[in-house]
Amino acid sequence: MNLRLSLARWARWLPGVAFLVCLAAGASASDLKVEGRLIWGTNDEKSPDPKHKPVDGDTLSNLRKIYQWKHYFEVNRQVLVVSSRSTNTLVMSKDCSVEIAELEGPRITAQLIGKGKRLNKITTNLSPGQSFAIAGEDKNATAYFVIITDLEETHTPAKQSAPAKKEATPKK
Amino acid sequence: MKHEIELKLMACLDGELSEREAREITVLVEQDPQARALLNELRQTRAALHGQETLAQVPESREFYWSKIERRLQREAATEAVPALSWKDWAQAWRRWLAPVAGAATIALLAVGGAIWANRSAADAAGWHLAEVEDLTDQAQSHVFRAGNMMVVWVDTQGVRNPSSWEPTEPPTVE
Repeated sequence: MNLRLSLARWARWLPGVAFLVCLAAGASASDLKVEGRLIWGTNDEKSPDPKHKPVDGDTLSNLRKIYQWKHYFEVNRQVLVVSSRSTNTLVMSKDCSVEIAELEGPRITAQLIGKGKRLNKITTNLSPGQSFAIAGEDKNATAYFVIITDLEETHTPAKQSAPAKKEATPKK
Repeated sequence: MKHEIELKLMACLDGELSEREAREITVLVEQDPQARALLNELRQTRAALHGQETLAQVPESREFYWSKIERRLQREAATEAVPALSWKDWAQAWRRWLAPVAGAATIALLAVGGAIWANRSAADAAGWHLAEVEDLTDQAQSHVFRAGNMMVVWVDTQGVRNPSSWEPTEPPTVE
C-alpha cells in the first residue's frame, strides 16, 4: 500500500521530468562530431611507413569501384567536434587541413586547405554514419583521400586527438 | 439503555414528540423499569430547576435578534469561503496544474520534434548525396564522383582530366 502511494506520488512528477529531459535533449543535440581520415592510395602492396594501416574493407571496395589504385593506407585519423553554427578545422597533415562549418539542419560546409591555400568549398548534407571524401593526386602517381564521417551528435567540448607522428603530405 | 431512547425520554418530557412516538415511549416506560426510573429522575430534576432559571431579557425584538444571528453566520461563512492562501497552498495548487500541463507539453514537444526529425530524415534520404562544390582558386577544378554510398570530390590541380582514367606510371613513394 505504501509502495503504491509512493509510486503514485512519483508518477505525478513524471510528465514534468519527461518534459525537462526532452528540453535538455533538444538543447544539447546541436553539435557535430566528425572523424577525418587521411588515406593514401597507391599500387604498392606495402606502405614504406609501417605505421600506415590498410583501410577497412568497406572503404577499400568503395574506393576501388572508381579508382584504379589497388591499395589504400590510413595515414592519419582525427576526431573533431564542431559546435553548433561554428567552424573548426581538421588538421590532417602539415600541409593539408579541412575547415568544417556546422550549418542549419544536417548541412555542413568543408573547405579543403592545401599549403595554406583554400582550394574548394563543399556544401552538403551529412548525417550520423554518412561520409564523403575529398581527394586529389599526390606525388609519384599516388593519391590522397580525406574521408569525413559524421560520427554522432554530441555536446562534449571540442577536442582533437593527437596527430599521428608520421603524416603524409598531400600535394594539393 | 440506548442513547436514542434517553433522548426520546427527554423530548417526551418537553412535549416535543409526535403522538405516535409519545405512545411508544409510554408503552416503553410501562414495560422497562430502567426507562421509568430515568423518566422519573428527569421529572424531578426539571421540577427542581423550575423557577431557578433567570430569564434573559433581550433588548431587541425576537425577529431582529435572530436576524442579527443570521447575518453574523452569513458573514462568517463568507469569510471561511475565501481563506488566505499560504505559499504552501499556492504550491499545492500549482502542482495540481503542473502535472497535466507538463504532460501535455511533453506530448506536444515529442510530436513537434518527431515531425522535425521525420522531415529531416526524409530530406537526408532524398538529398544527402547532393553537394554544392565551389572551386576557390583557378588552379584547382573539382569533380564529384560516387563510390558506393560515399561521395568523393576529386580536386584536380593538374588541369581538367578524368581521374578514373588516369594511369599511374611512376612507383609510389611516401615522404
